[in-house]
Amino acid sequence: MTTKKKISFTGALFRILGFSLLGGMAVGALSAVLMLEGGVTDRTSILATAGALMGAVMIVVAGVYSIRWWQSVDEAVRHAHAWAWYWGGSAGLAISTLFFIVFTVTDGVVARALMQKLGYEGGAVEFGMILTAGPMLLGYGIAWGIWWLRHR
Amino acid sequence: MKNRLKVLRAELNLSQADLAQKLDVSRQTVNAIETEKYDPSLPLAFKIADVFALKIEDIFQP
Repeated sequence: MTTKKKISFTGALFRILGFSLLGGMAVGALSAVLMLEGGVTDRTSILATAGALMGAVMIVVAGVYSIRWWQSVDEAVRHAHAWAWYWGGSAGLAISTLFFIVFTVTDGVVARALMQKLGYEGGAVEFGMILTAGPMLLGYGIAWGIWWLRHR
Repeated sequence: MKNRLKVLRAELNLSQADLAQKLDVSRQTVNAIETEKYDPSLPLAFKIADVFALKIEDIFQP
């Protein structure tokens, strides 16, 4: 039950955003230098590399602050999140699985129709990721609220 | 699990926030334990017993 120095959820979130912003600025500056001074003219590959670097920075920073935040909260808060992730996340994943079954059985026809209906113009892979993570996060949020309502 | 936390806290004239601070947990956690909606871990139960200078079994009953 040992807890470390308190770090609030919003505090961790702002730190993640702040470090990501700094990382983005550094990556952007590096890209500009490579294009202006380094003779690199392929703008697309520079932007793709910058995007990947930025993503890596965000993942590392988010990981570090997630661990720090987790270590700083008490056992009931941890239990609420673990319970919410298990039940809410699993329920969300079950819904995502239904989407995937329907999309597979219909050979992507329903998926494309849904993308069109929602006005989504990105790639199918990204759409799939949203349909996986979205219900899981939604289920997680709902289950977290239920846990605290039941334990008030 | 039943407990006497609310009574013991009142005897020491502590608010839920005061007790939470002593235990290094959130006030919501203290409330959840008091209302018997959440059973504390063994380390937290020992910490609670320590605050009231009692044995765990004097505070918690199955």
